[in-house]
Amino acid sequence: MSVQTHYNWQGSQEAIGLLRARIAKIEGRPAGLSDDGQAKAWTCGLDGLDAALGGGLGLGALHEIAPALPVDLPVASAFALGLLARLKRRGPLFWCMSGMTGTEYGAPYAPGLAMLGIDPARMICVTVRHPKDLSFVLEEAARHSSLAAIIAEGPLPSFTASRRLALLLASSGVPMLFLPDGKALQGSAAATRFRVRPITESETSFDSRSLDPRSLDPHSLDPRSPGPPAFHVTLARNRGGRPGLSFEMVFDHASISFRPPGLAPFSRAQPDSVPNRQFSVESAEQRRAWAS
Amino acid sequence: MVAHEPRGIRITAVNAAAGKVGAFVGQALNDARAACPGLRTEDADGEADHAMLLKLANAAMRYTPIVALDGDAGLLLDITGCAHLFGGEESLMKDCQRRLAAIGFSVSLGLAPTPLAARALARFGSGADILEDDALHALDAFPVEALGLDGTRNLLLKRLGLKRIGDLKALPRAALERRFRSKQEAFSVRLVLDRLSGNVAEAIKAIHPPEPYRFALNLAEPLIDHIGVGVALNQLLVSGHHRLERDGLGARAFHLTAFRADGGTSAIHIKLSEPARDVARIARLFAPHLPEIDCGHGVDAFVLAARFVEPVTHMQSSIVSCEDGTHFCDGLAPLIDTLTNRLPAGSVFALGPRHSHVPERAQQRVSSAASVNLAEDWAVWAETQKGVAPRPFRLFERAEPAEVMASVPDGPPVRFVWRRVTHKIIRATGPERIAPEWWRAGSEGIAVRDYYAVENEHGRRFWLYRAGAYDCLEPPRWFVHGVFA
Repeated sequence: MSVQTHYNWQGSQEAIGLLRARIAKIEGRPAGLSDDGQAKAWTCGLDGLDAALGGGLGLGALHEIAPALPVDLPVASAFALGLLARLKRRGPLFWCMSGMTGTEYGAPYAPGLAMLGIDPARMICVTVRHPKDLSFVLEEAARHSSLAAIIAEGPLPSFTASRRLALLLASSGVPMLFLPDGKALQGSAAATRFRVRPITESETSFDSRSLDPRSLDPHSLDPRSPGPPAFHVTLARNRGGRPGLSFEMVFDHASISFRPPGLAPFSRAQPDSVPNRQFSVESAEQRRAWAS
Repeated sequence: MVAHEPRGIRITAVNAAAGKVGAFVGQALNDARAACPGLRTEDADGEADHAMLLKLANAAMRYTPIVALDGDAGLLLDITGCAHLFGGEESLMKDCQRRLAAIGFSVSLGLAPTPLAARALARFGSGADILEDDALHALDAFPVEALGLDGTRNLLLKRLGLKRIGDLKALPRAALERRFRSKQEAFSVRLVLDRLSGNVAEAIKAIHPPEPYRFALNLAEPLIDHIGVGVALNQLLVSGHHRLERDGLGARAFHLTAFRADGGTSAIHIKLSEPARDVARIARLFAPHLPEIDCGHGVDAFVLAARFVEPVTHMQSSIVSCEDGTHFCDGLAPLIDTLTNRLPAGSVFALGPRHSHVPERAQQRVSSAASVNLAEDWAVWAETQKGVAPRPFRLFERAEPAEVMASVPDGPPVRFVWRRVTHKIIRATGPERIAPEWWRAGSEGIAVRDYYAVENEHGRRFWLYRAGAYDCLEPPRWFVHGVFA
């Protein structure tokens, strides 16, 4: 008796795709990060950085955004919020503050968040006093795929704890941005690590703010006023890419995108889609859906 | 037991041995000592007695949800509809007697159709009497003291020759009333007679208000470990789920009480952000609290009470079990519940708008349970914010004082010292003048604030303000209020 085998080309492609997904799961690679670096939607808008990251940041992964100095934690959180403003995932943003970061560096302030392009209604804040509670809260949150993203501030968890977090995030598909407060004692299982410090616009070659005709902010016409947030970002760790590259960038509120400093804004191509700049009533419907 | 009273030390309670030598309650200690010099005494502690009685009352909740204190040393249990759970009235009484005897209490029980009759039976009966509904005349032989009237009325009844309840009942009502001095006294006697027969209902003041959704589980063998507690809890949650589902309801709080064989109780409770009845979800919230239950020498009964019962308006989110055993919930409420039950109050919050131009009052922390309409609120708020100067994304809970040097009075700052660090300002914009809310009480002394957004030589941005003006008596003070992106 002979066994007749039908080779269904399409079917085998599907099977290979499934097997690849399983291998990725076994290896603990982030769900959004496929072998060939495709299917990544979370970009910074800065071509050099996106290319260094292999197309953008991975969803379902742990990213560390370390301030260069402890006092730069607000700057690191501004960079993280800039990234989150560009994230297209729907759902609430979960901001977990540990210990004294809320009193030391300031608590989240909704009017300012709205100006960064983040809908304050999406924000769920948690303050924890003890580092033990921090890892409990983060692990609970990492299980919930209904969250858009998690921001955590506090002492870095141990390597084992961060590995647990990375695995949970990989299965739920939620990205987590960890802002370590203080020195890291151990390594972590983060997919990427950014080191962020602020830069002044005098360090940048040319300030084009006053030339921006689309700017609605009356203060931006004042050359002595502080400009858009400017960052110096070093890619200290980059899984699946080249680490060690440094970038200078400013965050452009109008287009919700990072751009190189000094580049005239009207010569820059518009991004295809601008995420969540408008708070619509539709998002209220969404909100109800998340609450259920 | 003795108590110090204005007229000397008096006996408040005697045990069986002291009773034999003639000591009685109310006797002066000196008289009793004269009769029996070897009498051992302890000071009475009314508060401790009351606490013990309350403890016993809580333990008696295993029989019925309606338990009331009766005087200093009595408990009143309404076991309507409960006796069959313990194999009938007789075996319930036996169980009660056995348990109390095991922990060293002697108890006298009485079971009757009315509270007053039961009280009389327990105090003056044989200690384990049961009166059927039609057998109330059995109380006729009891002394009138059994009615629980006060001393003067008892005395009067005795003087009238009415020594037994039967004598009192036999008398025509009108004739009885004429014998009392006041109408009030006559009424009180008439009332107890009516209460005894059940013609007038007697209200029972239960120690805990009875709960309509209460689920009890009696175990054949006492449980001594927490694994068993989890199993019992699950069983109770399943029966609770059926009842609540049938009625289309969910509860926002659950209390689990464990009754120990030694008469103690311990309880744990959880709260939810929305009415729920889902077994797995509630069990998950209970799980970290299970070790708080003191199993002692064994727990043999559990009661689960569902409180704040409300209609469930939407379908419960399902909990999907993954192959590796971890749970992923597609709704947000389970996460919020887990965190609020674990963390101190106020740790989990959402941000809500408040219509105020004073920066620290423009946002409020709202419990994330109430966050359903936040999106509309913020959309409305955003309409009012057109043309407002930039706001910091992190605001200090309390504005922090700083020392500021300005090039000219009323001009923008050029240098400031904050947290012992000097910041040189290279860019600044402002001022934005924000006046206090004059319509609020207590705002008279608050100075007008001038806000500046500044950037230091490293590129860090701050929101500074000056309270007061230079031309006032007091020099203006400077504060750091927030951090810009």
